[in-house]
Amino acid sequence: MKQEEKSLKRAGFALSPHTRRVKLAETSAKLALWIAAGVTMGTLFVIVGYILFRGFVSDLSIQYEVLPEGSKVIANEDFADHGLLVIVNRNIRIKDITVLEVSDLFSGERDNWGGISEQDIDVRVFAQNGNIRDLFERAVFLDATHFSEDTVFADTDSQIIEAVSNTSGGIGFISEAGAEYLNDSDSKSIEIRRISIAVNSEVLQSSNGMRIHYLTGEQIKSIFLGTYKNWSELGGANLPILTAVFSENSLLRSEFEEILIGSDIRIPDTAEVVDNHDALAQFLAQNPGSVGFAYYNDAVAHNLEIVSIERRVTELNLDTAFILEEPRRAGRVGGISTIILNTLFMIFLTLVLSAPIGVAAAVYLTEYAQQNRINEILRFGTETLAGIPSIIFGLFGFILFVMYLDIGAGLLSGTLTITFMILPTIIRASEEAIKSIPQSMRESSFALGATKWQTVTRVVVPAAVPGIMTGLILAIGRAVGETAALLFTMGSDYRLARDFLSSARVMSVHLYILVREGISFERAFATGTILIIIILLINFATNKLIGRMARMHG
Amino acid sequence: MQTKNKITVEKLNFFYGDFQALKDIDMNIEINKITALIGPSGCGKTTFLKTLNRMNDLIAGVRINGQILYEGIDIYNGNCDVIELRKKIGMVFQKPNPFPMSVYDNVAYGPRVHGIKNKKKLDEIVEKSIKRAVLWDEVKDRLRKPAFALSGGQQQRLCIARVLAVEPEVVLMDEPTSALDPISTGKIEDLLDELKINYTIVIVTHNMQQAGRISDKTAFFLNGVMLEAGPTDEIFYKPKNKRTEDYISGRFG
Repeated sequence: MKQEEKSLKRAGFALSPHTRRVKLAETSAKLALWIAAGVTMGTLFVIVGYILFRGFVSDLSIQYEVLPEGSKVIANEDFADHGLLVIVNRNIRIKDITVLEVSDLFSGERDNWGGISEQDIDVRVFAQNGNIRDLFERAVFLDATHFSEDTVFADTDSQIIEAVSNTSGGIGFISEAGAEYLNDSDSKSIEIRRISIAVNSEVLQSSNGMRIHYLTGEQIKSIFLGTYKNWSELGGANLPILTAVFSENSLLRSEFEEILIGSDIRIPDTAEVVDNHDALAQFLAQNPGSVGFAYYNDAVAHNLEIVSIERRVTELNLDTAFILEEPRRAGRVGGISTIILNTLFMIFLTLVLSAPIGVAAAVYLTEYAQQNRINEILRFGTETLAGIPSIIFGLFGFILFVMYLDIGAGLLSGTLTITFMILPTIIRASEEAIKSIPQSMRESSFALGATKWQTVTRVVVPAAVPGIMTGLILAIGRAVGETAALLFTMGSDYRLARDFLSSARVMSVHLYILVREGISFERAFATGTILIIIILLINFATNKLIGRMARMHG
Repeated sequence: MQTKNKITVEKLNFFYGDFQALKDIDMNIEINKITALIGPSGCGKTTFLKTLNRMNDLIAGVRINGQILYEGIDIYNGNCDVIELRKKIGMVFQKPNPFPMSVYDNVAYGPRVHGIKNKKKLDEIVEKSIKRAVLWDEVKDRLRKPAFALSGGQQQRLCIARVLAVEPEVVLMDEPTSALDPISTGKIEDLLDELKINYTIVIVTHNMQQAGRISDKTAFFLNGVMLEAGPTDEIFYKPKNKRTEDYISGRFG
């Protein structure tokens, strides 16, 4: 090795200081370029990835006064021999429900499923008389609550199941024994969440700025298993944790243990054992830092301090229903199917209008226009127009179409405005594409005796189609994502556009309204995700198309 | 043997703006012969070639005087139909430049722009033209494939077929083999030999051997002047002009 180096040096081919400097400069330049490209690409991936993630997955944190989970069977000590099941029609997209929501549904407080299952379906209630009614009222209703006037009463489980199965938005209850009839019906039983955590009032009071705002399921489990000794460990005041539990053979105790801890682990004996709710209320009132559990109704009836419990729901945000269903109630519930269709109409109409005009203008500017002052101004004008903010086009469209021509904010006004906005992009891209067709092609065509028009229409424009398509894609990309120009000109009716004049909401405007009016971030992200996917699909399809044409073009 | 002139050029002067590219050219182009135009770059031979089918019309600021007679008719006469003229006098360019279409559509382009729509007739013309360009066996199975998929030499023969499809009488060629490899060049030269039976060919070439091999007549251009023209053998072996001899023997150019 050394020998080699020496001979290199002798020959004068050893690495010279100059070469070394040049190499260093080159390496650092490469590194800088790599970093610049990496940072840009990385940022873009993070942004798009985050939007797609938020679009597909919703991770909501909602606070309830009951545990995040429940059980299907509602039973009560007083009715120990039988329990009941709450059933709903299969079209309602829920697995579980809080006892308060059940109460609201049956009492007529809620007459629409919107706030619960995000479906715009009216609630229809079915109830039974007899023992089971007493159990239901005892377990679900608070003191002053009673069945709504619209409640339909039946006598047997199978009648209830049949009625609920045949009624969209139906809800009812049946005895535990009737569960076997559910299997081949269009009803399903749902979990009822009805256990609350009650605490001594000092736990919820602020002390030195420390207080318990809410607990998570994990924290509650640890509290009752004795892992935490003091509320300060949970961010609360400096109070010892004293747990109170019902006796081991009580229904509430076994339900609580099953839901939260799992049936094979037991709450340790250190906990205070109470026999009834009065005893629990007394214990909680007398012992600072004490905590226990009770059915929500009993807790309310005994004026217990209930602590909020966080429930994190991670679920599919963007499901097929979101794509296929019509939006309802300002987009709070339902999907965005009509809005997607409106967007596609808008794109289609815009293309039909702008592609021929744009290509024709580009042909004129490149093939026919003389190099004179007027055409120079024309060209400069197109270039300037391409850079004008879209809101100004929106304003112009509003004044011209909506006010002056009085055709109203609708599909036609919006489309015309967008056409004005994207024409410069199309013209410029088409111009470049046409200019890039070699002069020799035109010459060969002329040499065969073709006229100028024949040459332009049969050779030049077809050869420029891939470039023109690229311009059209850019333009569509702008049109799909355009909000500002459409806000004033296209209206915001989220129903399907019926004719050219009807107001029609497109996806970007929908997204804007969802966020602006605080309707739903989750739905805004889902809409944004579909928007991104549509643009990706358009790009992908056109790339394929251009690829196929490019093979023809060599 | 009686020779007949297809094109007669008399006192042709050609100007790009103020620059005179051709000076007082007098020349006869004989029917069914290959006439080669030789000379160093910028001598005006391509300009001259393009005056023959009025391709120079496409360039702004061009002025022309003198006469070019095609079978006795002045082609720069105001009443001459340029489209008909270009049908009669076809042109093949330096670089193969097929249109971005299929092989078939390339050849059918000329007939189509001249109004032939009948599918059977087009098929006939296409087949006949490609056969004349000695390309049929190579492309008959890929008529619907893009022309760009062909090799350079095949593309140039396709361009020749495209010209033949409009049934010209004269074919102008501007260095048709300069972008091709020797094998493709050989094929084109063989083709020219066959074509002169039916067509009159004028070819610009930088390749002295090529001019010697294929042409019947040769004209030597220098600085816009045609210094010497005559049968190829005479120009190559007994040039009258000293500068023709210098050029042919490779002393300049």
